[in-house]
Amino acid sequence: MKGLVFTELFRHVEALHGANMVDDIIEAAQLPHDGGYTSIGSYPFQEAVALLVALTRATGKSLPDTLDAFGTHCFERWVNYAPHFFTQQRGLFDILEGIDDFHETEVRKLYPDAELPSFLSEQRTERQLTLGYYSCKPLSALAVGVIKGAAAHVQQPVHMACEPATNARGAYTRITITLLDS
Amino acid sequence: MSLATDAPTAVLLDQVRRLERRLARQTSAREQAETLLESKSLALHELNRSLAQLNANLEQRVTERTRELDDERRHALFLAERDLLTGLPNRLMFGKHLRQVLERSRRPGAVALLYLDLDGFKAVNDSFGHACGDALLKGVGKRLSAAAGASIFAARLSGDEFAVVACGGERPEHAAALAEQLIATLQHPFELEGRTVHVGASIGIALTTDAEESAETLLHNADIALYRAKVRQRGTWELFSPEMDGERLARLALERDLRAGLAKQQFEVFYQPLLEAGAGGLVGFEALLRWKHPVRGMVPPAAFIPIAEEIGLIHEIGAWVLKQACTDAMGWAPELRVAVNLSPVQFTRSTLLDHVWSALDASGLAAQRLELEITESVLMQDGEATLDTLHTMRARGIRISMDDFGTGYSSLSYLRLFPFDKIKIDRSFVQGMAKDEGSIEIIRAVIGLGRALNIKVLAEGVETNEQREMLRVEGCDELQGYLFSKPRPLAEMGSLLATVLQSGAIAEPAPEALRGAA
Repeated sequence: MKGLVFTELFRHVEALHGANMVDDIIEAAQLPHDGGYTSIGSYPFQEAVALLVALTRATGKSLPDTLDAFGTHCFERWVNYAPHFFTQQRGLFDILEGIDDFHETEVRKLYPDAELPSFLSEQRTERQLTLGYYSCKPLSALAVGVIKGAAAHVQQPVHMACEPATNARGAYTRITITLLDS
Repeated sequence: MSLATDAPTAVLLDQVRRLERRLARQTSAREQAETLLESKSLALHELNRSLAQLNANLEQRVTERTRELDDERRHALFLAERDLLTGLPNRLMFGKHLRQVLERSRRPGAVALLYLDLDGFKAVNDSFGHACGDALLKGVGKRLSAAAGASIFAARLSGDEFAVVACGGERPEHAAALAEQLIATLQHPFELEGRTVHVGASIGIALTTDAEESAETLLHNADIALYRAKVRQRGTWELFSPEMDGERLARLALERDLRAGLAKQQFEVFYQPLLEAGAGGLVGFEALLRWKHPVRGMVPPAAFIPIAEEIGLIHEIGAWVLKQACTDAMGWAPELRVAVNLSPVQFTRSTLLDHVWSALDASGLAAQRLELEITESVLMQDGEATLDTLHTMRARGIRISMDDFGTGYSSLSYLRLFPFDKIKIDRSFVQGMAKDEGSIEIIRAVIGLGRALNIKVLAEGVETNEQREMLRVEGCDELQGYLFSKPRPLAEMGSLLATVLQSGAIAEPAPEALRGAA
C-alpha cells in the first residue's frame, strides 16, 4: 500500500483528534518500525489495518464509520490537489464517473506502481447512478465515504445503497446513488 | 499556559517523548524518501542513458534509411527514364532530351530525329515466341547504342519502335547517311537462342524546319515519314515533307474502310478456271478475292491485301474466303476442285487449321476438292510449325500447291521439304516465253522437275494460243489465264459450268467461246 495512504490517514486523524492521537495509534499498532512513512514508499497493508484497528479502539467508533470519514477526507484532498477535475459545475454523477480518469491521469503519474481502486458506471439515469466499486482490498466503506465527500462537495443530498455483486472480473461492491431533493 | 510552571513533570516528559518520537518518525520518513529518490534517480539515469543510446541507434538507422531511400529514389528515377528490356532511355527521357536539344539549338535543320521501326518483328514474336522477340529487341538496343556516337541519342519508344536524335548542323544528307548506317547495322542477322533471325528496319527522318519546332511536331513528322517508308518499301528511309501527311491520312482511311468492308459484305470471291493442258478439260477454279467499295470502286488485291496482312485483318478475311469458296464449290460438278490462296500471315496463328476445318465442315465439301496455294515465303518463316500445319492439312486430303514458282528465291530445298501436289509457274515466265530463251528454259526445267518429283505443273497467265500450244508441247499439266477466262463472279460462271456438266470438258475452240460466254 502506498505511503500516501498512511500519511493521509495521519493527517486526517490529527485534524480530527489531535497530534497525540497519531502518536497513540502508532504505538498501539505495534508496528515493526517507529511509524515513519513517506508518501512515495510502499508498506504492508497489514500496517494500515493495525493502525485503523488502533484508531477504532481509541475513538470507540466502528471500522466502517472510521473508513467512511477517511474516504470523505480523501475526496477533499483530491479536490485540493486537482480542483479542475472536480468543479462543482460537473455535477455529482459526472464527478463520480470521472474518478477513474483522475486516478489514471493524475495519480498514476506520481505513483506508477499504485494499486488503484476503480469506480465503473453500470447504469445511469437522471436521478440514479449505479457504480461498481472494484478493489483488491475490503474497503467499500472507504468508497462510500468518497462518494459522500463528493456529494457534500456539490451540495447534493443523496441516498446510497451497497450490495455485494460478482461478474466476470470477480467479486465487487455495487453502490447505487439516488439523488434526493435538496 | 506555561509547561514549565503549571504542567506536572510526567505530562511534560510525555510530551517530550512524543516530540522525540515524532522527530524520529519525520527523520525516518525523510531518510526513506531520500533513499527512494536516490534509487529513482539512479533508475532515471539508467533510463536516460538507454534512451540516449536508443536515440543514437535510431538516428543512425534514420541516416541509413535515408541513404537507402535516396538510393532507391535515384534508382527509381533512373528506371523511370529507362527501358528495362534494352537499357536504352525510354519515351519519357527521350521526350525530355529532345526538348532540351531543341531548346539549345534554335535554328532550322539543327536537329534530326530518326524514327525507326523494325520490319518483321511481329513475325519473329509470333513464330518464335516473346522470349525470342525480347532477345531481338535487346540485340537491336545494343547495336543502336554501339552505332550511336557521342552526338547521337538513341531511345526505345515502344514495342519495336526506336528513335535517334542527332544534332550539330545536320543537313538532310547527314541524317540520311545515319539512317543508312542504322539500317545496315540491323540488317545483319541476329543469333538468338540458337536461331538465326533476320529483321530489317524502316526509318522516318524529320529535320527541324524553324526555330519554334516542338518536340511533338518533330516526332509526329518523323512518324509520318516512317509510315511512308514502310508503305513504300520496307528497309528504307524517308525524309519528311509536308505533303506526306495527306498520304498517311489516305492510308488510314483505307485501313478503316477495309475493316468495315468485311462487315458490310463488300468482298466477293471471283473464280478463274484451271484447265487440263492436253484435252482442255476443266479441272477447277482458283478463288480470287475482290473488294468492291461503294466509293473507291473495285480495289485491286495488291492495294489492300498487304494492308490486311499488316493490320492482321487477313485472318478474318482469309477465313471468310475459305468458307465462301468451299460453299460455292458445292454447287459445281463433284470432280471440280477449288483453289484458295493462303497468306504467309495466316500461318502465324494457330487459328488457320480451325478456319480450314470449319470451312470444309460447314459447306460439306470433300477435302480432296480443296487446293490450298502457298508461296515459298510461307516456308521461309517458322519452317517446322508451317510444315506441321501443311502435313495436317494433307493428312485430311487437302492438296497443297506452290504458287508463283520461279519468283523469289525459288529454292529447290522447299520442294524437298514438303511433297507439294502442284507447282504453279509464275505468269512472268509464260509471258516471256515467246520473247526470250531464258523463260522457256526455266519452264522446261520446272516441268522436268515436276515430272521427276511427281508433282503436277500449272502455268499461270496464259493469254495466247501460241503460249498454250508451247506449254502443251513442253508437257505442262494444267493451264490458267485470260485466254480461257479472266476471274469472274460466281454468277457469271453459270454457262461455263453448264458446258462442263454436259461435255465433261471445254472443247476447242473453247477459249474464245468462254470469253464470249463470260
